[in-house]
Amino acid sequence: ICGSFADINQMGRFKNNKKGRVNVKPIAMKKNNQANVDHVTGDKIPKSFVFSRTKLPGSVKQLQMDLRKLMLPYTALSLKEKKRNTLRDFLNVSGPMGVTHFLMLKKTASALSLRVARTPQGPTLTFKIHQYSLASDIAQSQLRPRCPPDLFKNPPLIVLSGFGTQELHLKLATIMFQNIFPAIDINTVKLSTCQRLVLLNYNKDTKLIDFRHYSIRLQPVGVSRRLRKFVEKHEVPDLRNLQDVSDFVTKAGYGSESEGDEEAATVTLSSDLGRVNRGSTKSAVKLQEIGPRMTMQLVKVEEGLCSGGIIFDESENVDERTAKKKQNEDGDEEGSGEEGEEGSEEDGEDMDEDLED
Amino acid sequence: MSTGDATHTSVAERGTRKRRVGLKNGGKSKNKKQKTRPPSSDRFKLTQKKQKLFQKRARDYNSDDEEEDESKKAPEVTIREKIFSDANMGPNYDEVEEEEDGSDKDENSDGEDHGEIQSGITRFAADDGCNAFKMAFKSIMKSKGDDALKLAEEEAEKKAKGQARKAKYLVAEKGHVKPANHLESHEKVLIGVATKGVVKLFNAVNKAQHAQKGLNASRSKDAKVLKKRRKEAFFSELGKTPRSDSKAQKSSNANEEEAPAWAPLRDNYMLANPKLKDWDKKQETNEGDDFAAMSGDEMQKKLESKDNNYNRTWPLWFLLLSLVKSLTVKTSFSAMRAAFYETMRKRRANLSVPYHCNVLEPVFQVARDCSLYGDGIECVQLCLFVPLEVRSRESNRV
Repeated sequence: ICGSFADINQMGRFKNNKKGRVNVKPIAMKKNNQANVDHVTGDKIPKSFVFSRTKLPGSVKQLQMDLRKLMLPYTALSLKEKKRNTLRDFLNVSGPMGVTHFLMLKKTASALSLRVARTPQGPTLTFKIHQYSLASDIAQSQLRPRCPPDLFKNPPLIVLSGFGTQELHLKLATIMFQNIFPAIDINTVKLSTCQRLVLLNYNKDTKLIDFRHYSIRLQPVGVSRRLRKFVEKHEVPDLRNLQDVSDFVTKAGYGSESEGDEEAATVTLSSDLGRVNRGSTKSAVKLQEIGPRMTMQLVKVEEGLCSGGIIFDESENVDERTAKKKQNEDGDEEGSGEEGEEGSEEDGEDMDEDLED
Repeated sequence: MSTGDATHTSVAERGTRKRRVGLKNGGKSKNKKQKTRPPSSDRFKLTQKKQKLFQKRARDYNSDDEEEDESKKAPEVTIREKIFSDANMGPNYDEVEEEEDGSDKDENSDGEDHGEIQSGITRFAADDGCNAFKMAFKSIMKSKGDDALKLAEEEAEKKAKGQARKAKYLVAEKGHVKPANHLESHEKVLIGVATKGVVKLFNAVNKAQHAQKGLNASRSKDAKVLKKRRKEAFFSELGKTPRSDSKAQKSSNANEEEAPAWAPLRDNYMLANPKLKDWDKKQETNEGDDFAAMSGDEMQKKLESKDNNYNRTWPLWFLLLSLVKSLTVKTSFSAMRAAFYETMRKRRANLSVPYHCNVLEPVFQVARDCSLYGDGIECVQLCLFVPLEVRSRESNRV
């Protein structure tokens, strides 16, 4: 372990997520008081590193930062990498820190690619990013960007759609993404902790995956807009044109155009969530986009960590692919586990290790 | 040349001072002396004067000084102009030479300061100047001639660099799309999909937690009902055939409810952990496994299938452990008891292997005892080698 701490020291400093302090001393490094094992499910909490081995131009650096924020809290926010750090260095550090996934960005003249890999020797998925938008771009395009202060305290939920069950590489991608985020236990989870959502939508025709990141907000349904704003934000209303307070309360406001959509998105809460959403009343789920937006395509799946046999390659023809698939099936399933279990795209909230194999 | 002298003196006086751009009031008093102009050059000077005057005014506009300075500034302008235009007039320099005003080298600074005054003026009929000044300017002119070329080169270089930088920037930004309009139609579709997923999840959570709310306190009767209801409700929410459902929704399995927090106590401990998983050296694929299976049942299926396939004798400790696991359910004793009974029932059906009988005898004993005692865990503790920690944990928890 001493050797790996020396590596850490050499590499840079990791952010202690709780306090935001940066500890450089190797002994104090383990002060990272994140649980390695989720106390509820008993599974290992997946942690990730987001980094790049090459130098990145400006906006891609921003994208990397956005991705790091997305993976919070179980990631190293201020991970510093130096040019001479190789993948081996990261691997050495990831062991003692309990890091399970690497997300690597790489920018070449032709393409920007994101590699998602499972340490220590898990499969590597390579995605080619066709288009991306930064979080700041999206915030600028919105009228009222929203970022509550503790938005990144809890890990996000993940929603996968359109992946299907047939193709092996897609299945692998599904499993990989489900495993990146820690599972939640529906019986004990507090809805107030589910504040973010990552959506991965696969389009069969174009073979592109849309990656979106939303923030979840619950709004009570059936309350007029003015009342709601008054209670939520303590905005003192302007009563000068009204005769009586009852006018304020009972006046029918204009329904916003999104209220029609709310019908489909209504949820009955079991308990109070904040001041406004009371238990056993209906609330609507509203999503607002934050964070980076990417359009990517899965181009390569490798068996090892950026090495090893190629399981799937977009440029190969189908026959080769199926042959390699059969050969490497066992290699696929190591470490992540959920191969045959779900029949469809599902929410990665719990890794049910029971049903693997 | 009286006026010339006058101007000369004024110039000389000004020359001694360091020229400052935008100097407004300083020259006023000096120039009050010069109010007349030589008649011969009047017209010519006036046109030039006027031009420069306007420029000068524009530059040095100060509302306080407006009325006073007009006339005063004129001679300043011309003098400065002369000097400057000397500096700028390459080819015409010689013809103007004779008419230059007499001034000394101090004027150099003045001439250079007037960089902005254009060299469009190529002629002037000035009768100021002196040879020294002429020589000085000549030398400056020559060096400036060389610089012009250099400047041109530099500009070309800069342009090339700028273009290279632009090209590099474009390559770097390739793929970076700034969303022009938030919420285009495709985005709306995606948000709809995500919302559906979230709604499903929240509803499932709410149902599960709502059902759990009132019942947790009272253990025995409700726990069984609770367990059943939870399982049913949960899966009905999500749809039992997830394949048909293309929407994304997966929540934690009902197994999760039963599994205790301590990892080794869980049924899937051995199977899930990759290191321990291969102890029997073959992996099975249960692709068709409905993920709705319970933990105890799952265990049974696997054990049965494996038994049938291999006819192996399972190590005693493993069996014990599995029994213990199926018993140590998080919620309550009666639930555990129910699980235990199920386990026993299924195991009884599988008595083909003789070795198992040895193991199972005490277990049967336990089963009988359970019905007597009515409390699963304690009898188990008597008969089997249950670690004390487990029991205490269970009793602490419930």
